Amino acid sequence: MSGNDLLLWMSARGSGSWTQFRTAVERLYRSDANAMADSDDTVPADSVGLPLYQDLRLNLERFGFAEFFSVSGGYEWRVTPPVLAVTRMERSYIGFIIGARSDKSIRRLATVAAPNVLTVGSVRHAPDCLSVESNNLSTLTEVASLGGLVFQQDAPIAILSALRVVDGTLLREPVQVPIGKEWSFERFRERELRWAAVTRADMEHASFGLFRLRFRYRTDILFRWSGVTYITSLQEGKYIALKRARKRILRYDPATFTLSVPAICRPPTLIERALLLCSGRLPVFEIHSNAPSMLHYQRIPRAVARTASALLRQELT
Amino acid sequence: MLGLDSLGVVVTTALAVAAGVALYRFIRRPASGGSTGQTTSLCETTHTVGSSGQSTSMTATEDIDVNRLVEFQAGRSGKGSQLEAPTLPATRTTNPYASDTESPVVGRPDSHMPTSDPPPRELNRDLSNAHDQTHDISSDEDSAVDDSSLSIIIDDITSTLSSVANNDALIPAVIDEQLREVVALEQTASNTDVSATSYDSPATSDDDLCALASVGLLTPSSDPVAIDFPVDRRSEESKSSSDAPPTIQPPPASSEAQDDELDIACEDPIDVNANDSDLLHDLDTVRRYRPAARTPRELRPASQRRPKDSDPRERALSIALRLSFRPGGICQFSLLAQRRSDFPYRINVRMLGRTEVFSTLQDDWYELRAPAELGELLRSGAIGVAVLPGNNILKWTLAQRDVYVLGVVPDFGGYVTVSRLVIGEEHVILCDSALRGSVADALAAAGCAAFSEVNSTDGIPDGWIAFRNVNPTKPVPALNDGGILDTLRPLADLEIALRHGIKVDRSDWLLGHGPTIILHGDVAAAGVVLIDGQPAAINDAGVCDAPGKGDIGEHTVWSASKFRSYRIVEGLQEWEAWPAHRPSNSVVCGAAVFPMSGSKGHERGLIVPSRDAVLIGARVGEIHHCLPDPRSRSSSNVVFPAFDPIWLIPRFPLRCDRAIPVIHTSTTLSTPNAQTPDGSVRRSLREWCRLILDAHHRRLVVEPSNATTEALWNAYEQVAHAHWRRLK
Repeated sequence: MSGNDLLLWMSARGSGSWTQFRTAVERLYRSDANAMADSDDTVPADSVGLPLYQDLRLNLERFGFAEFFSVSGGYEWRVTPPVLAVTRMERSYIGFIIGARSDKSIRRLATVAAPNVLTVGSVRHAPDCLSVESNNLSTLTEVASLGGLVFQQDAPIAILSALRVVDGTLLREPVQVPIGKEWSFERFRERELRWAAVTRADMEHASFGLFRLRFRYRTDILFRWSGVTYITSLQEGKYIALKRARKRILRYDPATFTLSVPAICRPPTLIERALLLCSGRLPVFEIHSNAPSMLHYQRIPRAVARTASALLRQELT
Repeated sequence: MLGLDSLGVVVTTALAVAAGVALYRFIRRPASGGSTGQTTSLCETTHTVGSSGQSTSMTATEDIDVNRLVEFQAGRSGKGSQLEAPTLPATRTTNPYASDTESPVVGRPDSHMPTSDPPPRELNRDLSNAHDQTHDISSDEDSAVDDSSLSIIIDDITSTLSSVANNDALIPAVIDEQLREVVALEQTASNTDVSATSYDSPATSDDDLCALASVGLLTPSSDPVAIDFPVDRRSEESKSSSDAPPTIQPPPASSEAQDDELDIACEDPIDVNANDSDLLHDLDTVRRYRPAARTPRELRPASQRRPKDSDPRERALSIALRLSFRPGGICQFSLLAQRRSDFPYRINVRMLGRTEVFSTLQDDWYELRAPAELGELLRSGAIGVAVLPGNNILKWTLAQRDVYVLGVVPDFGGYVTVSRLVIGEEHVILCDSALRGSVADALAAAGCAAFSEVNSTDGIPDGWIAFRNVNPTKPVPALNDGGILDTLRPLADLEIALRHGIKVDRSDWLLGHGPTIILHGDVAAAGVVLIDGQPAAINDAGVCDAPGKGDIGEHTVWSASKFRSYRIVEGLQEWEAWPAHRPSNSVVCGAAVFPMSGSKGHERGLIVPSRDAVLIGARVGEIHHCLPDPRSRSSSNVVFPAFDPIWLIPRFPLRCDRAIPVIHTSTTLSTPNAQTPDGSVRRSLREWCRLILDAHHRRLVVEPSNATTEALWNAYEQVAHAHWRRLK
């Protein structure tokens, strides 16, 4: 069993609740005992050792196979329409098939993609990566048309072009700091790229900074900006703080077309999705004992790297 | 055959009810004319009481009538869940009307009334007093008050009837019928607009005639006005100074003649003389228990299946028997009645001709003590009825049977009714004494050894015996003849498991990923296993296989012991985009970017540099302004023009940086089309031409720079030039 069965199940249903997703993972996905043992939902997403269902959820969302969102009373998911996300390579075009799939749609794709080869690449804790490569863009257009896929040319750039810059303009919802002694406070240290325990007073007196508040199973990510507290997402908050601290973390190797970031600073979901659609692969996770662990995104064209860094208000080094 | 005394009781009873009906109609005067509503067809109510004490059967037409009464009682008492059936005071032993050949009337019993019934005239006064009271109440416009006053009257009638009746057992049956009529007439009044004049003929339907005839209120006449009811109750009462009650035409003096005449429209008349303990049955005929036949069944067509959203309360709830052994081996019985979470903690249930109180034992079960007539109850079964607020009717049934299989059930002490013997588990068998031999033989065939017999000396009801320490060890093929002894034939210990595959819903598997059918347990004794009616091939691991088991549609797996069904579905084959992320002027869903909903643009977007530029199409007038999103601050932008864009031109070519090129955006060499699009405005035509001509005048570079693109651009310039002259 693999993520393929999970995607088939999700595609057959179309949408569902988080509980149903977890149940399906339990039933369909066989993994090692270590991954199954940890069922703590509060494990941060930017740390290693995620529970299996969280890992699967993250990968499905990273690639864009499904969207997970919160609704009143819980969380839900919905599978996305099948898309042929085309990326321009050096001498050819490659289209990754992202989104819902069924046995019937795969068989049809295999038929219409001929004589081009429908390549299948396995991805750990994720559905197989199906791709079609051709020197002619019109060929891919035809494959998408006959295969019932949405054709998205230059998918990475298209997604990045639709996004806003990650800066203080994203902070729009001022909130009050939660009341109660049970809350624990942590501040993101931009220089050390780590979280450090602080007090409520530290936060209330800080004029700028990213803070993480925890109480039992609840985690709030708050950003202090000019003395006002705003709610924000974890990844965006980090890059806002990094920009504020003028900390550069993005590295790009034009020789290998590799974009590297510290693992703790994984880009926001849609930016990362654009990076993954360049290669159809998950980033390589590199662990260092004396340095922050790194994520290496492969086969990233220079234009995509520049656009991504511009959105993150980072300069490529 | 009706005796004179009994006849008098019946007549008195009927007159009391009729008077109550009259009072009720006075209270519930309709607003306008209309047709009568529904009435209870008491003609369908048969109550046959054998004078020799034979078993009786009673078929009630409308359970709801009694229940409406119960509801009125509850409404009056203000208790939502504590529904009180009409309580009956102590009965009388003499019939004061035995010698009264005049108009027998019923009056409103007073709480201070002596135990002996007053003479009719005093009762008449009481009735008129009640009538006046209800009249005063009815002047209140609040309809709820009318209901309460009606219930008061009903209570009063009930009390009066009980005070003159002789036989306790008869009272419920008789009163039930009379009260049903009252309730039915109340329903009629509440549901319809009936003019006051229509009350001239109270017996407006044959059903009512039957009802009245059955209790001796009506002579055998088809004249619907045989009973004289006052036309205008209020005017009549206000005029009367003597408190004369409504008069009811008395029945003939001869009871024998009456007996004959009563048979006109109705079926068997009520024998009010009967002192029959068989009046334990309540409301409906109790069905006989039949074990489920263990034969392959075809899937019912969808039209015959119970709809998923059908009210589960439409099905009767079950009553089970529980047996506990006390120290010394004494048997103690109790009854368990099904309960749902929204049922009240305690509920009054009409059963066995009386009100039983069901008390919650567990979330899913009520408990009540076994009645004294348990033996008869077990043999004949019973039905219990209650009404919840909102007119939700609850019905419990205990089917008739001669053999009960009691087993150990989790969460219950003692032994509780189970469907049949189960191998390896301990049971107690309770059976009719007449079946002792057959039961013993069946138990022996099931491999039960060392079971012992328990009889009435240890608390078993008379006429019954019990076998305890019953431990079946062998499966026995069922005869499937519906005989009760099939419950003593344990099935092979088998389980049908549906494993693996991709389960989409409760019992739906995805096409191509159907379940693996595996048998667990005593596979050797399972016998034939059918998949969709076809014999299945079973391998050593218990995996069953048959042709077509993975095809789309419904499938069944049948064995004598177990049955499973599942369905193969195709799942969704089309998926639509939705605004999952809306960071700017477009929507991101999955790996694609879509226009905002309501946009007229094509779904296929185009990535353009983020600057003030315009896209033009092949047809004159096709323009789309690419306005950069100031919040985006990205170097590129995704736009969704409503046409196939050919060129991207700076919006103000004469003022822009000369290094900014004119970009060919199309993958095809679309030559310009001189025809203008439908609905084009002059402004867009001018804009289209201006952009091209200004870019030409500014000598902006065309990209990609090659001869083909250059030639194409020249063609557009010529068309723009020609149109510009025309527009001038």
